Amino acid sequence: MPSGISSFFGLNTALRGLQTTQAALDVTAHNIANADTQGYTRQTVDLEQFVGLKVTSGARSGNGGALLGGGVDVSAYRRIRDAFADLQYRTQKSIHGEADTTAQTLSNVELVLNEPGDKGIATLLSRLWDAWQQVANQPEDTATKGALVVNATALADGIRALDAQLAAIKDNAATEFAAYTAVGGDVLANAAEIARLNAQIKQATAAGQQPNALLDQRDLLIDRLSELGHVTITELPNNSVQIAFGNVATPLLVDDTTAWEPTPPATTLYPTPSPGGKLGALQELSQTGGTIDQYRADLNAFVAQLVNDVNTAHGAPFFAAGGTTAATIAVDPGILADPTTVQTTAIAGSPPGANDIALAVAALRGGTADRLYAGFVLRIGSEARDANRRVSAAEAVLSSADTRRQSVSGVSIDEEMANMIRFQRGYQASARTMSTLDDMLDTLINRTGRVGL
Amino acid sequence: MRITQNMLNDRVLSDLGRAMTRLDRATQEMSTQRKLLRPSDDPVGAQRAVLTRAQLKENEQYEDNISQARGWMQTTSDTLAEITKLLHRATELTVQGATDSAGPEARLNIAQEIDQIVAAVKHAGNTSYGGVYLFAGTATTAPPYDTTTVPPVDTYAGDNGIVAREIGPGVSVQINALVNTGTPPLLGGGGGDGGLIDTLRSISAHLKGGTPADAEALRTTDLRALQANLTRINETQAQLGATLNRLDAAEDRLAASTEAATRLLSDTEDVDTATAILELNTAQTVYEAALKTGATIIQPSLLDFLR
Repeated sequence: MPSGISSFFGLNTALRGLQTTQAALDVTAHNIANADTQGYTRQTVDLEQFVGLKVTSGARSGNGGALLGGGVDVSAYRRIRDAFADLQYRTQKSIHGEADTTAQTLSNVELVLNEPGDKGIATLLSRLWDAWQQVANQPEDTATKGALVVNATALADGIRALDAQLAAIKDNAATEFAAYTAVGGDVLANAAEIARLNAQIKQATAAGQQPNALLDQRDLLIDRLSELGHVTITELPNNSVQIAFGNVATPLLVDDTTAWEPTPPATTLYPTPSPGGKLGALQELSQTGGTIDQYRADLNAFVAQLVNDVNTAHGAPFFAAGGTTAATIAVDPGILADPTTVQTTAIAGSPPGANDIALAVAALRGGTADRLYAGFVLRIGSEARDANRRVSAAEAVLSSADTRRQSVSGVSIDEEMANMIRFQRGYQASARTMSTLDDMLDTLINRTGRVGL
Repeated sequence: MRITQNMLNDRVLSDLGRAMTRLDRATQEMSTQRKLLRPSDDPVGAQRAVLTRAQLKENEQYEDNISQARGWMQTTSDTLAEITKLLHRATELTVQGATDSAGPEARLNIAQEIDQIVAAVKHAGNTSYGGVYLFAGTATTAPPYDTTTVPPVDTYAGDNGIVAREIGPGVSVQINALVNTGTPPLLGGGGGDGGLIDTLRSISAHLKGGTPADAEALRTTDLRALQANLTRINETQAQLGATLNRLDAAEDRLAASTEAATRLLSDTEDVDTATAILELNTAQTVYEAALKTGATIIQPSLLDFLR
């Protein structure tokens, strides 16, 4: 039997060409349609030669025969994605999340601080010293003492308000943290969704399919998670993954189950070790002894110094003796009730014009207490600036990581258009091959044996 | 590197955002005329601003203290000048009364005038400034001399407390003149203490006495005592003058310090308008350029050129 090639073999080859280019065009259409879809990874058609047909005739040497190509076939619809770019992007995303949250919170702290300016604690403190000077100038005048008490009350109120606002900022951070980590919060919601996708991906992969859309969705969710914390991804069989936060011992999810369900393991996540990202920042800000607590401790140190200095110089409680913290500072109730009890002199018989005590208190101006407060402002300023700087650095790196990822995975309309033309031409060529074959068959069928008719 | 349309869009958007942020900052600096809007803009500067502001407030208060002290001392000095005049008149009268030619009636008249001078001196001793008695030591709320009781009581009701004002950090000056301490006391409280009031009372008594011994006393001890009282007043005036000079010097120093602090605060907090305007214009130009680039870049793709 010389030739084993069917007359219709070429038709099939051309048909496969048509089908494949059509599939490629479909992918192009899919890419264009999803050009703006968040988390979409561009796809390409992987083509492979169709297994050849062994042809005995025409074999030149031996009797091995030759392989005739049978056309083309789609081997896979591949996502174009760079795992390293993903890693880089997610790492930066969590650094950015942390810096951004810290910077925003510290900017709130700066707002409540209201320094430098005419409305902050520094001004109120200056007014207190001024009032003491006025008392020293006119110790016999009870009006100056009244004014002093009013100014001291304003300062105490201002400090208490500042402390309360700092406490509120800390509480807000704690609340936000709780909202993220609670059941139904972003962390668990994302984890549950990823676990569900894991199950589907596993099933599809095991069945030999390529669940591109599911993988894209999962990657998008992991991106979201990585803003909240520094994610560590461990690959599992069948395209499934395990995800953990930073150094946290219990993984967030393993395969198709969330390890945190039904309640987050608050004890293993909070307060140590830090999950990084937004959660890490919120944790650092809100935990006992965290950033905000340290600020409040600084404020307390200033208040303790102020109360102690003034009361020592005054010889009797001017600020209430029990109120040596920012939350409790107050003018002594006795003095508040009767401003004339403000002491101005330690001289026996208290002559009305003597002002040695008032002078001693006024001389505290610019002393340790003032410096502690200025240092407190300096500290908040430096830390806020550092956070701002980290945000802009993280933004720059994040944007370049994103660009890199986009560069690999993003849909380029130009490229798709070029592909479209390519595939269209391919389709046309295959169609032409088919019609040529058709012509040949036409000749064979309709013209054979009709010579001379 | 492969570039996609979305990358261009994102880039244009983030560049626009950055340009906008810069513009916002420049506008804010222009409208507030301050470059230090938050501590994080310049932490060390913020600390400096807090301390400098406190320093300015402090200087203001010291200036206020100085002007109050000056008023107090000026009034003291004026009062002492008035007392000096009275003292000179008393000296004249004493000399007049001490001459042998003066008859008893004339001496009695002179004694009465001297009594009036005592009343005037005590009245001067009760001078008050802003409701505060200047010559009462630290017992400033009550008049130091009794000017109403008849027969007159000369005792001093004040104390010898020093009234001081702070005119600079840690620098206090005494602003009151003590009238009932030292030998002889400036005005004293009568009762043989040698003060001016006591001297005048003894002159009055000697004039009224009219004996040769009285006349001799007028000529010798009384005139000498008046001289001592005058010296004392002059010493006090000289002290007041010196302190007033110190106040002037302190005020000059404060003015210099205030000027330096104001300049430092301004350097730390305020914008240089020229720089700020330049920055605003640059920011505006950059923003407009970013917008224009965005508009031209985003439009075309191969799509636009395919039939």
